[in-house]
Amino acid sequence: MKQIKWLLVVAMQCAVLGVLFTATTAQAQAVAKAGAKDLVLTGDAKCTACHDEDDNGALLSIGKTKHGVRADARNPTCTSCHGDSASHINKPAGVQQRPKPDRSFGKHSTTSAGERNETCLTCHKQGSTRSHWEGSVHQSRDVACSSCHQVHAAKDKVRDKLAQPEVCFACHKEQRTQINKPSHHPIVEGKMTCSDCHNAHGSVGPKLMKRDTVVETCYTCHMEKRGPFVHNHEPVSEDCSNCHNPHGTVVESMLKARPPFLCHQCHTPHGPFIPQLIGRQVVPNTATQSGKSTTNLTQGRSCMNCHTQVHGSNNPSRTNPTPQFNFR
Amino acid sequence: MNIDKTLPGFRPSLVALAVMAVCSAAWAQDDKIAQLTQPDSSVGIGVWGSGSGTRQRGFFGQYSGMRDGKTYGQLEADINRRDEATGTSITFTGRNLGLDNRDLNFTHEQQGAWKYSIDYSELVRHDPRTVNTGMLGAGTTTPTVVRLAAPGTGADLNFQMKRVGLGLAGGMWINPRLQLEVSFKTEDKDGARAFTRGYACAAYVCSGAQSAVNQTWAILMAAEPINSTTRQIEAKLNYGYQDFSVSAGYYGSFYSNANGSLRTTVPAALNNPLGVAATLAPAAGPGVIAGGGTSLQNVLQLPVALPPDNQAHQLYVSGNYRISPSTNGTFKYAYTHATQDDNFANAGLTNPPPGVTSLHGVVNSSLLQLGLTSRPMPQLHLLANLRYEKVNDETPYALYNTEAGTSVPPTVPPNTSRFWNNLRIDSTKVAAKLEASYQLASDLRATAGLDFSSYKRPVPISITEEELAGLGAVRATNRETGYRLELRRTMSETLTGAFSYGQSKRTGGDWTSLSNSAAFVAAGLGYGQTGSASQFIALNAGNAFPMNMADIDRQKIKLSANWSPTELIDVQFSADDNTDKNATAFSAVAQGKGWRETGLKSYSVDASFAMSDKWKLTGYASQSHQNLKINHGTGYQADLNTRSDGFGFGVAGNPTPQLELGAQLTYLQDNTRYGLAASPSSTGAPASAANLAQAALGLPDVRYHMTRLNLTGTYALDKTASVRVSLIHQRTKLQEWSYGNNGVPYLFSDNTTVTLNPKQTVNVLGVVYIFKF
Repeated sequence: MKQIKWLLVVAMQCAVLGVLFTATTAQAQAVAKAGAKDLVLTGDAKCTACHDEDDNGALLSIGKTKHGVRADARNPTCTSCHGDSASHINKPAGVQQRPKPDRSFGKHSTTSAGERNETCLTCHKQGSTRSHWEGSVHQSRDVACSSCHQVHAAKDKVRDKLAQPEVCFACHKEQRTQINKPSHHPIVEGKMTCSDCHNAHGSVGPKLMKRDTVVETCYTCHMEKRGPFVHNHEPVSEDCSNCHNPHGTVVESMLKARPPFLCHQCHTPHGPFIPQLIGRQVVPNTATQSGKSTTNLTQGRSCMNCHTQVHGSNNPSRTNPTPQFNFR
Repeated sequence: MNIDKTLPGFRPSLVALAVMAVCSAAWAQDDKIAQLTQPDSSVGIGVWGSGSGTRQRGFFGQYSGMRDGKTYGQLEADINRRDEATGTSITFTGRNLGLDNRDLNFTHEQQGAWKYSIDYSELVRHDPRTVNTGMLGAGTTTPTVVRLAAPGTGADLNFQMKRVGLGLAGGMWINPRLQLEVSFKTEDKDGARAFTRGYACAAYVCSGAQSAVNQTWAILMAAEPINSTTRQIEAKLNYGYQDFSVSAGYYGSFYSNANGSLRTTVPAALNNPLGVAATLAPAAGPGVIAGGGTSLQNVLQLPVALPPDNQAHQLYVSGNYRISPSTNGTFKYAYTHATQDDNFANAGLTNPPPGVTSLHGVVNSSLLQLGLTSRPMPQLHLLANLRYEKVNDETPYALYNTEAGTSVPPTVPPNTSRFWNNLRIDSTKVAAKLEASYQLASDLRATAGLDFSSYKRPVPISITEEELAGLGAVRATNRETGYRLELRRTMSETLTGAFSYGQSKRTGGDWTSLSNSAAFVAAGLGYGQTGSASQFIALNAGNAFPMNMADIDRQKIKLSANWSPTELIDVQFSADDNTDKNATAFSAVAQGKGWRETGLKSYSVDASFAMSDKWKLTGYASQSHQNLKINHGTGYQADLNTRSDGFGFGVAGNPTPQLELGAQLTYLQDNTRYGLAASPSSTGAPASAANLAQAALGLPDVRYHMTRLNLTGTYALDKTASVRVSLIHQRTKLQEWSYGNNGVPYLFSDNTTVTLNPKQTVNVLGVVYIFKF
């Protein structure tokens, strides 16, 4: 009899514990669904009741980002971006598959890029960095903010100096190859990144240059090239990319072609001249060899062996042989 | 009956246990949520090591901070603290703190109220090449050239330049509509980089013909001394209210250089072309040129001007306005006042025009941009943009070059009684575009665009202006008009594609002559006079027109496709074909000179595959073919072809909850072929036998190969500690001939040589202990 009684008691205890546990969980869900307990953002409970840490914990990492600062009253909640999504929250009867939220931002989103961007611009329109998004190449080519930004991730890849190029290279394939060439800006090494020169959100400059022109952008680091000089080199003042490919080349100084070929695109002096190398000449150099039109124009720094100041010279000297003449 | 009123075994302790079980589940849940939602921090400490020698690390060590040495400390920090009640946060990040390319950032902000940050950065750029020289004081403003008795017997120099940057930035919301942002950045550059000093004597400068004992030219490897500071300051106010947003600000940038000029001391004897010491040519006498010339030694000792101090101040206003729910406008106006008044004498530069102490350079520029986008109907999107930029160079003219007196024998063009001003760099640039995009069907969108640009630059109108050497003619204006068409189609739920085609034509005004030859003067095309390209070609069949001014026909074709057959697989394909052809008139007999044609074809395939929740693969393959055709005026015809092949393969995974693995393999092969032919004469006669033979010998290909493997593994020891192990293996091979070919070095006149280890293999291993909190 005692054993039966003990068994009954244990069964009752289990039942009580089970009820207690079930009641707690159900109550928690009910409370959450009622909007009483937000997990990350103010007012997120109607979403996080289902999309909680067990459903997809990564979504909650938005809490680690600037969007997750609850004290900032400007910050959004889930529905600010994804829409009220009534049919998603309360699946209509007779519908087999739960409808998607009003706006989605993932890789396979059916929400148009324009609508997705409009959502972000609701808050992020102000400020000079995004003032020229409308009409920019990225905007007109349907690039969505979410194509580059990971809003829910604790660390947004595109805002990290090391990881950003990988995001940009998803579309800009040629540059991915160029940064691995021996003459390059320190992008691979993580000391520079695409946004040091480009404003992907739109700019007044060509090629989404961060400042208003190519030369002004380059001057932010290479200010010594700005001059003006006594002797200016017009293509230099016009556009650095006349001669340089800033993404990287095999030629030193990121030149687009090896001198003398680069220089001979405009200037063709010191002829007749065939590029040649010491030890690879039909007629080897002799003691009477001229300083021009020989290996000196092909090797060393080529044309720049003598014309050192191709970016401009500030030498005012008027004396012969006018060493500053022709950028010497 | 004695009835126990308490239930047997139903003790308060058991109830407490039950409650605790439930609560601990809730606490665990809260802890998990906190981990997912609260900013976390980490600090890493470890060591990098490499057994590879310094000469194996020329390429790898350029910017990596690991050019020299065997071991390096590694310290990194990523500290994030946030006060949830106030929204105030502090972040501190440090990267590569044990290397010479370290970065530090500290940011303190109350989101939506105020923010300030401090950045510190160092970067040393190590030249991959090694210079063997006898030069003393390389990297100073007063080096002394010492001719080595034999190549390779000097000291090894590895040029390097260190940048140290400090940035301060801050901002505050004055009210919900108005924000103030300020930033200041200063960067010091210190070091040296490769430079040269060369001169081949003009007959009216140095005396005597080139011979074994009279050396009329010399080329010296020098080092450009660098000791400069750049400073940038920007302050702007951002205002936004309803449909209007505007920013107004000031941006100032300032360059100061502690080095004014490079003054090299050169010996009286340097190499002749055979590498034997020979006396440098003496000065030409007063009978050759008034007052006499100067010796080659003295020419080489003349100061070389280093970049002068300069500064620019810009005021701007920029913003956008939503004109209607479907129409937006953007605008910007900027005015920049740039000056350069570095004192010549203080820079060690002598003999300026009388009464002139500095250039007194003043360049004022204005920029205006207006843009409009509109969606008059849901299917149609319109875009218009206009950009106008005017640069006014208001630098005063002065006679910076004078060549007076008698020249015997006379030179062509005559170097007597000639004088030139400084060159101003005025320009006016206009760029406009119109674009319409229409959704033809739910799965098809078409875009058409028109582009226009024009560029106006100064050209000499008299021979008293700056000498422009080695040019056939220059052009005051260029105009370019073009159109482009694009179709984007969603072919299925998993496949989208786009095709675009664009064409444009650049033309311009008449060309301005730079020739004062009798034939040109007689034809009305003397210096400063203008005519068509055909007129120039008629007078000089080998006339070259600069590539940035020539007529061009451009064509661009692009095809791209994205295929996502499942949530797990993504494939991208793209192909480009771009061609620019010189469309300026040329002589069919002598053939066109200067730049002729550029083409680029590129293809790439990218794929990613999420094998499982734990493993993901990525890969790409790309190939490009670039060609460049250039003809020298009287020498060669070059057809340069570069092929680049790139491959990448990556794996990332979490085989166990504690272990994260990543591998990335990158491969690049770049090969340039230098196709050379000897140009016919201007009358079509074949080139000389020597030129034909030399062209046939040609130049070797330049080849570059790079393979890099990055392996990373992170093992979590517990919730707060992990160990990361990184391995970098890089192989590089560069076969080129700038400073030597096939074992034959290019010798500078003092027997200086420059070398680079052509095959480099680097292995670097790093171990870092990471503590999370």
